[in-house]
Amino acid sequence: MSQLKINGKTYSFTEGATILSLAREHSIHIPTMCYLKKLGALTSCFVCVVEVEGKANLIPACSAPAEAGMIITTDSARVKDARRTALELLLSDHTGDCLAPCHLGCPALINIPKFIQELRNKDNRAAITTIKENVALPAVLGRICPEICERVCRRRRKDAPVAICHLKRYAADVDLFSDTPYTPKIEKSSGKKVAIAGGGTAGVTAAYYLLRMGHQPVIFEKSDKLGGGLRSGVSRDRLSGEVLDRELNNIIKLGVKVEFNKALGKDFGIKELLDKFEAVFLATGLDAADNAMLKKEGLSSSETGIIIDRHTNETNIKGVFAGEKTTLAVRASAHGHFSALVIDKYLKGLPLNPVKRPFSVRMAHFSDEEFEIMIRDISNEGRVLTGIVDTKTVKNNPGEGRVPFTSDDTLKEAGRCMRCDCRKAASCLLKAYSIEYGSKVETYKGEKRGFKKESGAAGLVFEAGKCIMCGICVKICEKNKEIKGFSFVGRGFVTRVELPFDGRIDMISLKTAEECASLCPTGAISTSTKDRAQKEK
Amino acid sequence: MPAKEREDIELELIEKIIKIKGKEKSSLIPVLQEVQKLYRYLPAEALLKICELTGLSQAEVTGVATFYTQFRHKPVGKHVISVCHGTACHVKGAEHITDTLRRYLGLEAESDTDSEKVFTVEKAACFGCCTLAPVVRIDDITYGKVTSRFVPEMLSLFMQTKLKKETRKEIEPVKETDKGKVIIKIGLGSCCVAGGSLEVKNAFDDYIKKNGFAAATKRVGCVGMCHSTPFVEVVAPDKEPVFYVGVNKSDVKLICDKHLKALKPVKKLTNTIKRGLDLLSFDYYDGTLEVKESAMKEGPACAFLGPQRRIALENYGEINPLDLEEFKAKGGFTALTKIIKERDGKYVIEEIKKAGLRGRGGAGFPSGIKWEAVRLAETATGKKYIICNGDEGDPGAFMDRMLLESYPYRIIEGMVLAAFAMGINEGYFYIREEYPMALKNIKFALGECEKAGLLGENILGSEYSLKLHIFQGAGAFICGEETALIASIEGRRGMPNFRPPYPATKGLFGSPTNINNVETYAAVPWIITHGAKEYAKIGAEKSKGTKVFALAGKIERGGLIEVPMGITIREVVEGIGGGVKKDRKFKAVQIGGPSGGCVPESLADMPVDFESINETGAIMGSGGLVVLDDSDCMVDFARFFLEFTQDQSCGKCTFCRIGTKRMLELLEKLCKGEGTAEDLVKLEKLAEEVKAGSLCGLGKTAPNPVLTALKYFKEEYIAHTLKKCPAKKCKALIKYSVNDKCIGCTLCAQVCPSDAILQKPYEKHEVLQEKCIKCDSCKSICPSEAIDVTT
Repeated sequence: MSQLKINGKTYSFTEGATILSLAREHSIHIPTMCYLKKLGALTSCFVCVVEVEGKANLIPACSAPAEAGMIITTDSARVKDARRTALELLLSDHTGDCLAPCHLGCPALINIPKFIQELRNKDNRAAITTIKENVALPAVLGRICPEICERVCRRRRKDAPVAICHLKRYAADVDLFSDTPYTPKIEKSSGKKVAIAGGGTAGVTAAYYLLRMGHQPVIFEKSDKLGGGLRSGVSRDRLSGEVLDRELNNIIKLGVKVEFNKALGKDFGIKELLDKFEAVFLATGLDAADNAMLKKEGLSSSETGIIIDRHTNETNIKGVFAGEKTTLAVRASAHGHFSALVIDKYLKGLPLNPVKRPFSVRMAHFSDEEFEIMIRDISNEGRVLTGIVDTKTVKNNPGEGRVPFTSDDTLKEAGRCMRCDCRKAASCLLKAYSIEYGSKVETYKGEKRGFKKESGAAGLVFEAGKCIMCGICVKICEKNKEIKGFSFVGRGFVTRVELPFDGRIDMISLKTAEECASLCPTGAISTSTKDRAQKEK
Repeated sequence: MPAKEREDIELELIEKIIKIKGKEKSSLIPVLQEVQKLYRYLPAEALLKICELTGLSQAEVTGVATFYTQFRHKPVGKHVISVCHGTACHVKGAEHITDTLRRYLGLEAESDTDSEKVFTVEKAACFGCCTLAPVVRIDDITYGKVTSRFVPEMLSLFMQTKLKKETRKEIEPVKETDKGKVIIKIGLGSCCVAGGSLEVKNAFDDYIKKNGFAAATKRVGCVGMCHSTPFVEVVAPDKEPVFYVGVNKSDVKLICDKHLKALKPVKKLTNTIKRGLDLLSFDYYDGTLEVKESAMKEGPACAFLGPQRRIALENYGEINPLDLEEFKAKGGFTALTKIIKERDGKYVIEEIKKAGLRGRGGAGFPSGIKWEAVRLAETATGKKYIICNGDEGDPGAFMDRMLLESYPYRIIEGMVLAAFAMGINEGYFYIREEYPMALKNIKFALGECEKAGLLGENILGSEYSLKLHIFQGAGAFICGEETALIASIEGRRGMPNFRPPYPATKGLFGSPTNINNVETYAAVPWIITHGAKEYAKIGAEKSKGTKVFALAGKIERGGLIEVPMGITIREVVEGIGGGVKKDRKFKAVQIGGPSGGCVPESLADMPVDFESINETGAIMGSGGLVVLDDSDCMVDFARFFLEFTQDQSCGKCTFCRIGTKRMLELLEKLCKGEGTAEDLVKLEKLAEEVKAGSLCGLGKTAPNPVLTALKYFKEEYIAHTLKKCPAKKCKALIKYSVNDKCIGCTLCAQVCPSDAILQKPYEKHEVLQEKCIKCDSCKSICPSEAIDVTT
């Protein structure tokens, strides 16, 4: 038994151990994308680098044998910088979308492709569950949302965008009018109370999520009804009172407390709230006229509203949060949801660093040829939407004036979705480590691989643009003695993993292909069913 | 990888090739090389047939076939024009030559072959003919000192040669049985041949035969005075030898008449070399035969040869490289005989250790220590291997080529000594395919040695046996890295592995393996013959002995030189090399090629040894020295090297594969004047990270050209962010214009390939900026210095 030091602590090891194996044995985190125990070190991704005293260069932990007396550092600034750069370099040559354009385009960040897929699977419960991860009032939004997501829907380039908003409304309506509407799982009570000033979209949404996270929200509403702008600013032709009341009531029933006829600055002040509540969220939709009142309450404000830290939604008073001013319900919903996430962190004493924009590689531009590949396997169904206005996207969602989808319409329309999102978005190691190390997608720009997509049997998909050249699939094919397996092709920057001689993924045995898909660290090789078992322990 | 495109492939021939070369993976590269000889590229059908016949997977075959530059995947024209883009050629305008060729042949932007499919234009890695830069090779004929203007003539000359079916005489070894005759020695290294020495030799042979003179020509190896090829030495019995430099065919008669007819000395022999083509121009040996004759005794040649110390290059210009008997007569194989008969392996290793010999491949690892490790290494396979690394891929380096061509026996002797010392019975010469003469000469020499009992079974009657093979590289710079080289011999893509394990414990086919550079082995016989003590007396404190350098670039006298370690850069550049051209300023010297860096003139008094060079941020490398003057742009130069390394990266590790590309893109941005101060910061940070985070030596050293340039020439980088190129090299940042010295001769307008010169005879001309492609043709032809370049 020999000894070495990792991060200042001494460890013993036996012959044959590598730095990585030893670190794993002692639960010291070293990231790696190309190393799998059963295949041996491939030494390609270089995110596992560590510092070894006396060595000028960084050392890949996966391959370096543990040597007696080594003094190893796995988490120094230099190591983290190098890992961040390695990931940024890989990101700069990574073509695809982690999250679909519609998902990123939605102010409320609804995972649109996911709920559409669930509708396709005729699983309305799953769809509404997905939707309610991000919006509290989907039936309302399904009628009045300006459909920003549809403007960036990629299908637009072929014929017309998927009727996302109307699909959402379908899912919400089915749920809302069912005997057993969806109720979210509510976390164990934290015993903490949050005051919310304003019962409009933002306030109700914040209350909904705070409640889900185990806190007790209390809404202070200046009028005698919840809804705010949804009542005053939207005509009943677009949004019926029945839908609005029903959806709001469902939230109140979950346990949100409301005090009606209580206005900020008149019936209560911030100071009093802070005496009784652990945090305060201001969602009053106040405008310029209220500037003086806000100042009186001790808040920094300007004509455009309360001044907040745009990253954390904090006001100048500790424990008091506010959203940005908006007249769009979907944005108000987003502010409410985001503020709830921040307040939750605040209540738990965690650093306030929630991510406003989720991490995603984005394929901003693509050629006609690339688009042809994207639409190769999709349905040719035209946009199903019908109604009293035109069938294309409209600036103002006509709401109730639009003929609701039947379940058949829903299946057809949902079938038009191109699934632009990455199938491995949940398990991709490149994404996970990029988030962990704060790697930015745009740091290095330059020539990059193009979009390619090839589908095979059993839902197998090979997207060469997402390959990080780890070599795992090449090694698996070699191990399984595949004659027509994955191969390295070329040299230099343009080296690629390909199936030789214009080969297709179907030429590999299904077993091997599925093994490759399940072990591919990114979305380059995937199946519709399986996913890489997260980080091999 | 293209799908099937030809139906007419005769696949039976492939079967034959595989029968001869073998089915195993380690035969794959030789098989592909033979198959390419058949079709001049590798059709997909042929590759599939290889898979079928060998049982190798498509991934194995495709992986290898697409890794090496030698292998082509689409049909080529009848003749392949390879423009060398090595360092020396780059600084002497290879880019212009490629542009001119493409324009002249009317190639489409995406195509490299003309519409008639006669010529294919390729960029080539270095041919190692750096002193003749820029160099173009058409099929097997090499043209040196090519200018844009010479391009049309070069192509017609080439076609004439082909039409005449004038097959050049094979370079055969000449047995010297001509005692008493006048011997005319002619250097026939690759450079010399490119410089026309084979024609000169043929002319001598013809003329001697026609007149029945008592004389014979004799080929000799490289003298190293590449700047003045062809080089001829006339040795008459009992007379001082007479040297001629820059000889051409038309000088042959005069030289023969002078020496062989006992006529009075020739009066004046005009050097006709400059006849229009500039093909064989010499910068300073213009003039009379007398001038040429005295060249060796005084003046430049003395300065060139004086400070040199020849160990690896011993007997330069004297012996026929292929004549084993002559080599032995000069003391060759005495070291081996002594060791095999009187000593043992341990003794050799001790001597090498005492001599302080360090590997000449670049890193300078002490050879004796490595040999001892291999000697003591346990082998599970029962085998150990020795490899001579002749994969000299650095653009701008040609030491190994010259050594292999001119001193094959010395290298073999060194290798046998090393193998004997380590108890190794099998080995390989790994020589790059761009060096046909080196391959040929080593092959011949190995055969001779086997016949003479110096190789093979029971060497010199002892128990000891050694089999040496030749492995022809297929074009990949990375294969100079030892683990990649091993992968290549094993028939795999040349992708390096993490070390340890080092080859000394687990190398070729899993066995302990010793790899040294050509020059390292070449020094061994001398050390054994003269003793470690003598060797250790030469050189610097920690860097013993001599070092061979390929001196090229913006210098008066380029060539192959061997100097004692510790000599200063200035002594080499200004003394031996004669400095840069008169009106230019010595700016820097690039040491170590793409892995090295630029050492500025201000550090030129630094001694040349491993440690001192490392301190500058450059590396010794294998010994390429390219001299730069004030017309060389350091941003462009770094860009040039990164363009090379990102293409040569094996593609395995992230930092090297993508990092070098991103560095290149930042440099390209700077060269276009689009770079910002933030880009400089980003470039430097990325360079440091690529250096620290790459798997092998290629990636670890690839940032050196950038880092040294940023260290010593930062102001030039800053200038580029302000859209200025002080060296006036970066096309996007310069402007051509006509000044008042213009005499209205219209020459510039005649040569301008893009009609960018507005001219009226006898009036001042004008450059039309929107049409100007900045090819420099006008400036280079203007007789009155009337073209200005401004930035």
